[in-house]
Amino acid sequence: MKPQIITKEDIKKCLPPCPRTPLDASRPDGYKRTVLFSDADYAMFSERFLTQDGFSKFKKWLGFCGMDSTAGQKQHWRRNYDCDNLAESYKAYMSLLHARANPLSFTESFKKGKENETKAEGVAVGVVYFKIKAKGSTSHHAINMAITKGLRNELTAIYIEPNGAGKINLTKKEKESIWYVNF
Amino acid sequence: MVRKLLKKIFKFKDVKDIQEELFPKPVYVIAEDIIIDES
Repeated sequence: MKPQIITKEDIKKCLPPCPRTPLDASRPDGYKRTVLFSDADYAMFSERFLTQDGFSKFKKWLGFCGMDSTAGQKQHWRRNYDCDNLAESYKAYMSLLHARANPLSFTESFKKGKENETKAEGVAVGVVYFKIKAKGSTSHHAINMAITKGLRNELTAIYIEPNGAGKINLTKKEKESIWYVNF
Repeated sequence: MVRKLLKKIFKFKDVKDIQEELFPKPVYVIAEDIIIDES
């Protein structure tokens, strides 16, 4: 059986709502969220792979690159390799796995009479930025969002903290505050 | 075969071993699994 391929429209349906605010009214789309898609279509990895098997290898890969995990909350975080870099790395790592698993070019495929497992251009792992509000201060954080199969076999978005925690839940407010999405 | 034996004895890894260790085969969501809302 072939991997399911989804489009950007499918991914858009999985994004949390983004309420309008008076501040955003001046923007052409009326929304405060920037959503980017760089591939025509996407395959999906299983949740288990994204959060367990694949995730542990991602951390191993970071260690191989010299970005070892340190004890305590900061884990792989460094001042010059922080949340946005880690989220971009997780996305890039999963893209590498997708490319390695489907190595044949169109010509090679034709000549050898073999096919890749999937023709999907990309894998549905993105980077999102959202707001974190604490007492009297607001900061921004980058994590990963991935589209995968939900409990009832529906498409669902999961959130992954690439700096150690793996799958996490965002509050309703945090989801609504997502202002940048890049798949 | 000899190479495999030598690798086992001396516990060294070549590029392919490292690649296999760091880059596992991903598990895809397959077409039959998923229900897409077309509405």
